[in-house]
Amino acid sequence: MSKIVDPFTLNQWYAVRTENKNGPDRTHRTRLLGVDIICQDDENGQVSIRRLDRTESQDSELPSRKRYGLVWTSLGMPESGIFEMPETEEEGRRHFVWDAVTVKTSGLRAIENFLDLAHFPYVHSGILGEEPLTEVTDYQVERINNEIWVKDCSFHQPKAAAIAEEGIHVNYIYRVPHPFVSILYKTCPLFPEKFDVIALMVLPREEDVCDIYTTASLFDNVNTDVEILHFQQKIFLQDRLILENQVPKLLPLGGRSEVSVRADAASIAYRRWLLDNGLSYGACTG
Amino acid sequence: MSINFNKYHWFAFYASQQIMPAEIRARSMWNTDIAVWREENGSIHAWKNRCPHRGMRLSYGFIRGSQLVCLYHGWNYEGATAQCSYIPAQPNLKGPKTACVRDFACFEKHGLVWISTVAEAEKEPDFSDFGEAEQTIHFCRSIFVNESPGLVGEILKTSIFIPYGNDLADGAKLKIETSQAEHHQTGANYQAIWQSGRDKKKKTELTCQTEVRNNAILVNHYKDDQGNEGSLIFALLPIDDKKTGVHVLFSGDFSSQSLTSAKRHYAKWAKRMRWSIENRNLQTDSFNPWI
Repeated sequence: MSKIVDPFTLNQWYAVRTENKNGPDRTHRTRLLGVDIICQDDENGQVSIRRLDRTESQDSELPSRKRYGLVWTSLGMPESGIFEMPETEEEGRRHFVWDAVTVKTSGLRAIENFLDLAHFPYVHSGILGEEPLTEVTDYQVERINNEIWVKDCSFHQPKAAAIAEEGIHVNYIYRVPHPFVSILYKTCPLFPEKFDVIALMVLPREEDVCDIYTTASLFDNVNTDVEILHFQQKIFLQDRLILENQVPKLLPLGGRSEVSVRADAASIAYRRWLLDNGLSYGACTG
Repeated sequence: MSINFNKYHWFAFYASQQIMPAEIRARSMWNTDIAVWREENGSIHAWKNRCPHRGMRLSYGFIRGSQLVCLYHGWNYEGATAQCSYIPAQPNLKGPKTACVRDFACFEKHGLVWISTVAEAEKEPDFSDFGEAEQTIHFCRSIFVNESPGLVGEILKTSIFIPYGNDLADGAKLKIETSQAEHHQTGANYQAIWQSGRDKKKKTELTCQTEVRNNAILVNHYKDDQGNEGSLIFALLPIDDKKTGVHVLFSGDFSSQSLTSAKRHYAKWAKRMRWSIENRNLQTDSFNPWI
């Protein structure tokens, strides 16, 4: 390990593979918190995971779970199971798990960007936002059971989802149950009383490199899987341009090197929550 | 004597012609990422390439009138003050005082944008030593060499070149017969004799005097025995310890057609010079930029 990983980061579950992706010999290699790991499927589809910086006699076996279409593990001792997303079980949803995209920045920068409304008119112009409707109205930020909840967000979006045919006023709720995971509930264009659920599950390979898995549980009876994937990819690539050009790559938690305003309340709350939980991996002090 | 770079000096950062109104360019100087941009009216600014809000590189942004707009959240920064003037997410909020980009002193001369990262950089560099009227100095091109600024400056100080005006018919090869250099406090004097490959009897003698100005500008006053004389000027840009920018300029009164071929002549030489510096450990023969 290149750096001592703080306990809050170490003792979390991380998505390290999609359930159905497998390399030759039913193996999949990746990296978690600076450690090389390997996932091996047996004939029954059971996945065993080992860390490669230790020999078998040194206890190289890691825990393995399947959840939300992903394979999860941990290098530490998680206090609880993988966070719940009960909303995804609702009847009529289509579930998507998109394979990882590597982004050369701290996973924390990726989560913070996901929690941000103010960039929509500039980064996702014509899709998730549009000038001159740039104002971010006040929203609520709460800490519930050591999770961050961001409520009462609303924003005008020209094309809120693949299924959206016209601009609508979209309500957002964000939840951060894990330093490297954020779940978004947003108004479904098809059934305005329901929420689509989109989650970002970040695998921090290194402090400044991450793999981002995205899952979604949507109401959409029109678009094909590929059309929905394309919508998602377009948004993702627009964000990646930003993420890979933020300086420094590590998220500053000291509150001195980046200026914030009220519209950044979610970002400020996220940074404070990381600091209060003693997180340092992927963060810097500035 | 080696070239000592001093942060208190001005450096040629970008060619003016490469930054059109309402455009932004970026590169490093002393390891600092700097964005240089023009307002729609042409005024030029050099800023630290980082938005104070969320660290986004400002060079990905865009220009509206006299404002640079960050791509990430659309924060507007006023050219003259580098101060945030508008935050689209909170249209009624006055930009906080702390939302101010670090700006660097800059001005344009001889087709180049000159900047200093030190606020108290004294007066503009002294160009009088060029010994040439301003309108006869022409920007040729910028090259980037993967070597330290000190070494690049040292090699360029006694570099041998063929002045524009000499016949370089196809197939002609330069063979340097002798070269001698004498270094002194502020530069070097040197001579070289070369022959063209086609006519072995024809020999040309080149005499040069290089003056080092403001530590980072080499002014080479040359004269050959064919009647060509003028100045070849290298303005060095220290990018970091291992990379150096060289802006090549030359003097002379040219028609527009011969100006184009003179530019091509020195541009070709500059490219080969870069190759020679980066590969100077190969055979000594290869160190001749004309082969």
